[in-house]
Amino acid sequence: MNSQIFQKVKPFWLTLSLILLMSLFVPFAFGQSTGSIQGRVTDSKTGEGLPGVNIHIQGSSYGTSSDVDGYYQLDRLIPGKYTLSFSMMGYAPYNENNINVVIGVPIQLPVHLKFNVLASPQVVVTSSRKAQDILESPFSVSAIGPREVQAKAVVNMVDILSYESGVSTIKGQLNIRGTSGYTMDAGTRSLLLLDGIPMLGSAAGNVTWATIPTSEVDRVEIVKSGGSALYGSSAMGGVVNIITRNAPPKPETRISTKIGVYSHPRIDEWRWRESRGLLYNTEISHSRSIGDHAAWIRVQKRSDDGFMELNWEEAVNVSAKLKLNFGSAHSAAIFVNFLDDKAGLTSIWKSSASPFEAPEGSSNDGTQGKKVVLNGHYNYVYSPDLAIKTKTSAYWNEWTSFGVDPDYSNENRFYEEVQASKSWTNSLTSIFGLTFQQNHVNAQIFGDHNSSSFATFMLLEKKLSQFTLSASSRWETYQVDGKSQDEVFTPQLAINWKPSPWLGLRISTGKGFRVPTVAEMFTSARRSIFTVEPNPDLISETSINREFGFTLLAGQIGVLDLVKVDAAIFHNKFENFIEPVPNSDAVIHFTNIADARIMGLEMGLGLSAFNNLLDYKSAFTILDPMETNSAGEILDTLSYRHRYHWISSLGIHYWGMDASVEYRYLSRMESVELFQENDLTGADARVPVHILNAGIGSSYQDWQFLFRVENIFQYYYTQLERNIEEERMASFSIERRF
Amino acid sequence: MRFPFIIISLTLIIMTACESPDSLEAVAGVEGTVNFDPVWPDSIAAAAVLVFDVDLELDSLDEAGYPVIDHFITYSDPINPGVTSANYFIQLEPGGYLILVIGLLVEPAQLLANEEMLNEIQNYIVVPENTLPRGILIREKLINEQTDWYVQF
Repeated sequence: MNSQIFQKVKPFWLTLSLILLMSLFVPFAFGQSTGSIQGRVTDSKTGEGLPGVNIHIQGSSYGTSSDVDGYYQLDRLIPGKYTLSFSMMGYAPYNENNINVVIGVPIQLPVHLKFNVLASPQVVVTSSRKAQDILESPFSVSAIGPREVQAKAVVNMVDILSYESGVSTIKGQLNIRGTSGYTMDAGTRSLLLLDGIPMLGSAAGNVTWATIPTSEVDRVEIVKSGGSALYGSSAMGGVVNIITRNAPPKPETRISTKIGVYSHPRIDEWRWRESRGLLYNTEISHSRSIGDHAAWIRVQKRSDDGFMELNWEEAVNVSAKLKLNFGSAHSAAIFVNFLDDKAGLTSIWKSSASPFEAPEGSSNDGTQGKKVVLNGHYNYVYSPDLAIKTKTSAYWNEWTSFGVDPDYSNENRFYEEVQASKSWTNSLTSIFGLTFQQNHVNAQIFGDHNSSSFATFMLLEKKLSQFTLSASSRWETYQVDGKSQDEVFTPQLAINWKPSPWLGLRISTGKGFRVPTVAEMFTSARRSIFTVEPNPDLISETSINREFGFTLLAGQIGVLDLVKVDAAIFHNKFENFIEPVPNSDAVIHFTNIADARIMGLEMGLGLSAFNNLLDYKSAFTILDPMETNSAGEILDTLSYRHRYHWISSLGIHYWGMDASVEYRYLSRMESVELFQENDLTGADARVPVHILNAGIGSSYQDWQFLFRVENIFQYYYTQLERNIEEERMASFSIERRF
Repeated sequence: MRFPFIIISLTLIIMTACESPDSLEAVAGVEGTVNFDPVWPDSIAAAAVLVFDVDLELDSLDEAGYPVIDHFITYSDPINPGVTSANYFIQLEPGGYLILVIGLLVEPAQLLANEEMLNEIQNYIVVPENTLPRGILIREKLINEQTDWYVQF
C-alpha cells in the first residue's frame, strides 16, 4: 500500500477504532444464554422437504439454509421477538412474524412454501450490504432468479439484463437508467459485482461478460439508485450483483448443449456468407458435498460464428466454487474462473449497403486473451448479532489483438474488503467496512499505469415501527501513478416505510462519484477516422441522486397467485460529467463536460395467475437525459440514451410445457456523437428498437429441452453508429441432470 | 382454459402491431473502386468521393464565393493517403447526382466535426486534373456501380 494513502487516512483509523470498540461488546453478547428456532421447510403441495431454502432473521445478517431434507436450525439467539423470512426461487416467499425466543426452549417452526413460477428472490443482499426483505429496501432493486436465466438458456448475461426494467446495453456496456450512455468502453457508471466483489476491468472499467458462469448463477440483483455510498466509484448509476449458486447437498451432474442457427439476412443484398452461421455451447458441470463442504465445477466450450463478419468467437471457460462450512460460526468460499478466448474484431460495418460485413482489409483482425478471476470469501458469525466478512479478489488479464493494428494489454487487479455487521438491538443495525484495491495496466493504447484506492464505509439502520431509516457513507481516496487523484466523501440517506406486509415505500438521496478510468485519462488511439488523445487532467464526476418509489407485493388475490407492482421517480444531477467529446479538430478527448441531469419515471408490473399457469411481466421507463450548464439550463440531449424503454414478457406453463414471449422496445436515440443522420441521403439513420423473442420448453424425467427464436421479425437497428445489431437466431438446447 | 390462450394471442397481436416499419432496410447508393497513382503529394490528407446535385457548375468549383455548399450532398468515407486502390460506397436517395473524386487538404474528421467548413468546401479540396466528374442516376434500393476511376493528384 502506498505510504501516501496513510497520510490521509484519519477516517480509516476512525472506522477501525469503531470496529474495535464494537468488538468490546462481543463477549457480552456471546456470554448470554440463548434460544433457538428449528423446523422443516416443505412443499405445500407435495409435502417433500425443500433443500437450500434461504432463511434469515429480518434486521440482522444472521441466517441459514435448509439441509437436503428441508430441515433447518438457528442457534444462539438472544431471547426476544424475531421475524423469519423463508425464500427460495420458484416459491412464494413466506415471513413468520413475532417469534418469541426464550432461553433453553427450542421453538419448532415448520413452514410450507407454495410453488410459484414467477417468484423472484424476495430477500436481497446488495442494496444495504445485508440480507433484507425487498419491501424494506431503501432503493429500487430488482432481482432475477435462476429460473429466469435457465428459461432462456442464455450464454451471455447481457441477454438477461437487457430484459430488465431500466437496463440496456450497448456493445456489452451496461446502462442503468441511462447513466452510462456509451463511453467507448472506457468507463462505466454501473458497477458489476460477482458475489459482491467488483468485476470491472483495471484499465477501462469495462465488463468481460464471458467470465460470468451464466448457468451457475443463483440470482442477479440490480440496484438502480446510486450506490456510491456503499460501493464507491462506478456505482453512481447503480449496481448489478451476480450471485453464483452454492452446490446443492445432493450430487448432481449436468450436461447441456445449445445449438443456435443465425438466419440469413432477410434483405438479399445483405447476404454475406453461403452457409448459415452457427453457435455451439456445451457445458458440463458437477456439484457435490464433500463432508460439510460443497463444491461445483463447470467446463464450458463455446464456438460462435457470429451474426456478422468478424463477430466470431471461440472460448473455453472453466469455473469452480468451493463452499467451506466450519460449523455455524465459520464459512468460506473460493471461486475461480479461467477464460481462454479468441474473437474477431471490428468496430464498424463495411457500409449501409453491406451492414453485416466488416470493412475491407480487416478480415484478419482479431483478439485473443486469457483471464483468471480468483475470489475468496470468509464469513465469521461471532454471535447472532455480530458477523465479520472478508472478501479477497485477484484478477489477471493478458490480451492481444492481431491483424492490421496489433495491440496488447496486460492488466491485474487485487481487491480486499473487510466488513463487520453488528446488530446493537433488534431495531438498530450497523455495518462498517474497509476496502483496498490496486490495479496495474500495461497496454499499448493506455501506457503503463498503476492506480489504487482505499475506502471506508458505514451504514446505520434504525427501525422505528413501520419505518426503517438508513444513513450510509463512504470516504474514498484514489491514486494514479502515485499521485493523489481524488478524495471523496459520499453520504446517503434513505427512509423506507412498510405500512403493510405487502407494501414498501422508499425515498432516498445521496451523493455519488466516479473517478476517471486509466482509459479515459490516457487512451491514445485511432478509431475509424477519429483520434482519441489522452486527458490526464480529468477530474472525478459527482452526482446527487434522488429517488422516490414503492413496491407492492401481494399473493393470492382471486385468480392471481402473485402481484408485484414497482414504481419510482428519480432525478440524478451530475457535475463534471465525463463524456468523449470531439473538438474542432475532430480529436476526441474524454472531457468533463459542464453538468448533466437524468430524471425519469419507471413502472413495473409482474403477475402470476391461474395457479401458476400464466405469468406476465412488463416495465416501462421514461428518461429525460440532458446536458446542462452549472445553472441547470439545458444545453443538449445526452448522447447514446433511449428516452423510452419498455420490456414485456408473457409465459404459460401447462402440461409440463413452458412457453414464453418477450418484447423489448427502445425509442430512437436522439443524439449520437460520431456519425449524424444525413437527411439528404438517408445515411446513418437511427431507428427505434423492436425485438420479439419466443421460446417453448419441456422437461421429461432428467431431460430438459428448449427451442427458442430471438429477434423473430429480423428487425434491424443500430445503437452505436454503423454497428448493426442482432440477427435472428433459432436455437435448440438440451440439458440432462443426473 | 381458453382464457390464457386468448391473453397470449392478444399479446402477440399487440406486440406484432408494435413491429413498425422502421427497421433498417436495403439502401440505394453508388459504389465502386478508385485507383490512385502510387505517388501522393504530402499536402493531400486523404481522398474522398464527393456527391453534388446536377446543378453544380463544375467550372466554378474552385471560384471563391461560388456557393458550392448549395449543391453539395455528401462524401464518402475518407480514403487513406498512399493507397493505390480503394473501394467506396455512398448512400443516396433516388435521383440524379454528380460525383467526383477529390483530394482533401485537411483531416477528414475535421470536416465531420466542423459543419461550417463545408460551407467553403472548395477551400479544402483539390480536384485532380485527369479525373472527370460523372453523372449518375440512383434508383430505389439499387446500387449504381462506378468503377474504373483512375486518379493522379
